[in-house]
Amino acid sequence: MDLHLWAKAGFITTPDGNSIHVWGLTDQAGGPARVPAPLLILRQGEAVTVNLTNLLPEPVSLLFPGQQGVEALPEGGAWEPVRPQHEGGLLTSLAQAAPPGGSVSYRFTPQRPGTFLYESGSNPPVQVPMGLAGAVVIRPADYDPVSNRTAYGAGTGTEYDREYLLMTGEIDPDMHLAVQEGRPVDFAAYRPRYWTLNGRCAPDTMLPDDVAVLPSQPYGAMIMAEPGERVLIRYVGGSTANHPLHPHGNHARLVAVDGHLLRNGTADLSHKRFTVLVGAGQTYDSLFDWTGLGYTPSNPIPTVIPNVRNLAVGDAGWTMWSGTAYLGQKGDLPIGVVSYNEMGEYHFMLHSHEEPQLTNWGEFPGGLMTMLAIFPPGSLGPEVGRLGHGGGM
Amino acid sequence: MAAVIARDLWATSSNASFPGPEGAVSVPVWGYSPTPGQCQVPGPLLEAMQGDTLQVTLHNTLPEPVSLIWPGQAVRPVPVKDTNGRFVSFHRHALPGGTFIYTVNATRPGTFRYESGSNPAVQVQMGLSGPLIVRPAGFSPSDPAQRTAYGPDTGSDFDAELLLVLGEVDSRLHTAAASGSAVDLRAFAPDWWVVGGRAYPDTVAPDAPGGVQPLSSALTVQAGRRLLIRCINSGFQTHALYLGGLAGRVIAEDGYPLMSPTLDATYSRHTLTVAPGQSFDIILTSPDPGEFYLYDRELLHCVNGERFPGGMMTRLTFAV
Amino acid sequence: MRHDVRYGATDGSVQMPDGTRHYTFGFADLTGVPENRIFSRRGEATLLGPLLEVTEGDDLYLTMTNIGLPGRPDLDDSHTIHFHGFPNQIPLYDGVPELSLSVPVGRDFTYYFKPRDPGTYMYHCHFEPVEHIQMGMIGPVIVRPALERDPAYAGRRFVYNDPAAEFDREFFVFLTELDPDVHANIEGVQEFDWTEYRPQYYLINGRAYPDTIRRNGVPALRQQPYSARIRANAGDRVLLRFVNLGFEQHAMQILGIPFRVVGLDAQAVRGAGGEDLTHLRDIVYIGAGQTVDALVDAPAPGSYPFFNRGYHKLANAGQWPGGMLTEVRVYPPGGLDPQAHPNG
Repeated sequence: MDLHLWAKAGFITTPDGNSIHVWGLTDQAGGPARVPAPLLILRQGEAVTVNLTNLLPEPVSLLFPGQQGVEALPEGGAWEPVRPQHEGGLLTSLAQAAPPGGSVSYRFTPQRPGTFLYESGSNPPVQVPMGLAGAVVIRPADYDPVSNRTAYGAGTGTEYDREYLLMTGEIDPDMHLAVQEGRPVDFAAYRPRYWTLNGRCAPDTMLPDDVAVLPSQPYGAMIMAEPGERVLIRYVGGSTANHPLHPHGNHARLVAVDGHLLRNGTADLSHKRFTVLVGAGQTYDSLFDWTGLGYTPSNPIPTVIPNVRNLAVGDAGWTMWSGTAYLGQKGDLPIGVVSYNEMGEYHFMLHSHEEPQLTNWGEFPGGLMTMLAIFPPGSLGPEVGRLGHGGGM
Repeated sequence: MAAVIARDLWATSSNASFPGPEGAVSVPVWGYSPTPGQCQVPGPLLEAMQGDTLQVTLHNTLPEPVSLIWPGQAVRPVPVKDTNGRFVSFHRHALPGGTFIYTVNATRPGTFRYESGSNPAVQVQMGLSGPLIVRPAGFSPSDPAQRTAYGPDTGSDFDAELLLVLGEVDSRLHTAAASGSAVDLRAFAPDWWVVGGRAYPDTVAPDAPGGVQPLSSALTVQAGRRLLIRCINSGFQTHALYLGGLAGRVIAEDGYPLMSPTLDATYSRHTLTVAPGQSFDIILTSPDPGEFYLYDRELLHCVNGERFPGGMMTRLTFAV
Repeated sequence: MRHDVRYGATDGSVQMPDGTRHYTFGFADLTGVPENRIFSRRGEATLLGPLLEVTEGDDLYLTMTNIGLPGRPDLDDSHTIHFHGFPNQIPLYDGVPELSLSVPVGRDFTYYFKPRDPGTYMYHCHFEPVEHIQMGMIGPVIVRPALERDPAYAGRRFVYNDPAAEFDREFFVFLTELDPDVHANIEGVQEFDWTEYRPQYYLINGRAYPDTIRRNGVPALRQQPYSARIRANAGDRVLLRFVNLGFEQHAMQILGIPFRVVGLDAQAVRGAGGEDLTHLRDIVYIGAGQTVDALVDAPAPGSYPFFNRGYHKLANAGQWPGGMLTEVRVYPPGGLDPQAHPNG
């Protein structure tokens, strides 16, 4: 496989109307910079070459943590192992880099399936928070999207029905402004004001992939599944902080970290968590399924819901509630409340539990949150919960 | 054949050096020293065999009580409290100008630390901490079968070992403490991040025996050899240790081996979050020669002031 | 077995050891309070809120009544109860306002839970959670295993449905932080920019050292009823139920005593094949929204410092000693009476 990526400057938007200068990657010639970088979906055993053209004002390189035998082809040079670069004995870059206006290529053959990152190895304290990082999914050699859909291969207990990838990020607008204006970054004053999942702040996290108003943030973070389905959630710590991610609704079984299955021979080391602390630069694969407790109109909940006019529904003017307790049913809502509930689906919030991160510059709601929606059986098509479909995550 | 290992440590002060924009910056530090002269940061490596008794005499030349606590060791703390019943020290201390003798039975092998349990936010930040390695019974550096961290069948056999002691330096806190001024811990904000008491590029400079920052954190190992990394976080922040792109096998946490006769709970990582006070033992190898930078993937700690590279970075070389 | 519990959402205040008072929101226990007396509990919220303790298989009807904020009569915020981590929950009982409903001032709502998974959880308000959690609308939850109702094990206590997970005493170790600027701003009807969150106090069970080592129910700490001291007889097996409902990660250590981690997030630490993954550690590293069940064996009598190894957090407004620091006090065998209730 041969990929071409361009490193270039661009802008992303936040729901409170801010426009933030970023350094991102795109896989489309002439296309806008994208944050996070395009998701690479590769296959165990299949060689890949990544060609990087650098349209930024300083050298850019790419690291592929967890991949073995990565080689680099610097401009005007020959293929050689990736190695840190030095000048006068001092490190300048963690890998061979493309100079401004120049290019570099990398090639490797993924040896192991799993969830990984790729990111810049040049001036990373600036370039990674600026947006030069993305995720890599390596399909197992025996993967088949219909008949053998697993994260780590047949017999590894990682079969799933739908999969999603959530990459965390933080944004300090002062850092991005300094870079935009060519000033040094004041790391001592670093303070994030925005937090992102797949490059977007809530509520944009809940929009689909490839929305026209977010050309530089193509990936949504909305999780959708049906009862009893097994959902693979690939968490990626994409920036500089650790984030405790908590899906409401159920525990999930953590099965792999950093692309390594939590198994030693026949011993299974996977374990359940309701909050996964996603460390910086690390990946965590977990399997979530929601089966419910069997409440239906014929097996009703044992409490009486008061008249909803006596309760607060949609305080913000909108709700995602169906109006009833039951999956697949819609009920009456107070007049004037806009409901985004489509067909009686259940919504559960999935968010960082470091709650200030659920804001957009300090205003709740926002930031590092999305929804995990359980839809009535049979209502979701097979294209829901597919990575790489239509270019999305 | 358990031995009594008698050591003397002086709690004393000196100045350490960190890279600044216009050359080295001198920052006052406190530390433990094997001699009455200048201190060293981190403190000297204490080593014992499993079953040995460490007898450490602490001589305090600093202007406030200093103690030694031994996290992870079977030492019953005897806290010192003031007349209001509030902690002065987590364990018996040596008063300024005084001494105290600590007896530690090293009952289990592993990677540990010792540090001050007195005014710990200031004293440990100032540098009063150091590494402790307890060798397993039967350990022999010249016998490959007995050159392990936790004994046979623990996945911890190694050819070389590297100690990585992580920490942070808040120079304003250091200046205030050294001059006897009040320290407001709300203002804690590191301006350097260190491995082995140094910030990159000093981390990869050679050992400097007898100096204030004697410990290099760089190493060259033959390709294919098994390197044991003993990582201790003596700081107050988390750090995500990135292993240069290699996958390391974690074989122990906090000095507890993960492999037992009934279960192998070891696991592989290429980046590992190390919280304050934690220690990790990691086996790392590279079949091919190469240079690998190990650094804090929280990235903002890999700077000196405004510049990368710096801070919490070091270099591992697998040679031909 | 049916449990009916009623909590009132209201406000209150707490005191730090340096004498400062801070305005809070929280829950007050209204269980059994006659209907015409519930509004007398306005302003009586406690930090932490009441311990919610039920047994696996119980039918828990938890009514939450919003009795208003006398310290902020202008603020008509609604409230909810989110039982954090409840498995296979439905949105109606999950307490997220945008996804179900919330309870305005003067109203009630009854949540129903039939817990099936024993362990340590937490509850909190999920209305503007960043504000309401920091302000104090939080509390501990213990779901006791059905094993404890088995006549063969009468009077004994277990972490999970495993006879090997038996213990003698239990304490919750509920970690939070307090940023006084938040509380002052909210009291003063001012907005707070949450990106400026900077805690100055670090709390265990709602108290900062040295109040952490004072007993349960100190009159001067009327609205901080829970002690954070751990007391046991030598040889006792003690369960520490760690909960992190702060906004930072914390690394906890007991000097001289290791932890045996037996549960994570209200699940016994077991592999998919039932592998026993319990493990010894000297540090419990816990993120926001996580819980950890750790057993410690009380060794020889004495006082064992128990603290956050992020040493700058052992401070009250920047002054040591303070903050997230307490003690494990071990008495000679027979020295302490059996525990009457968790945290006793």
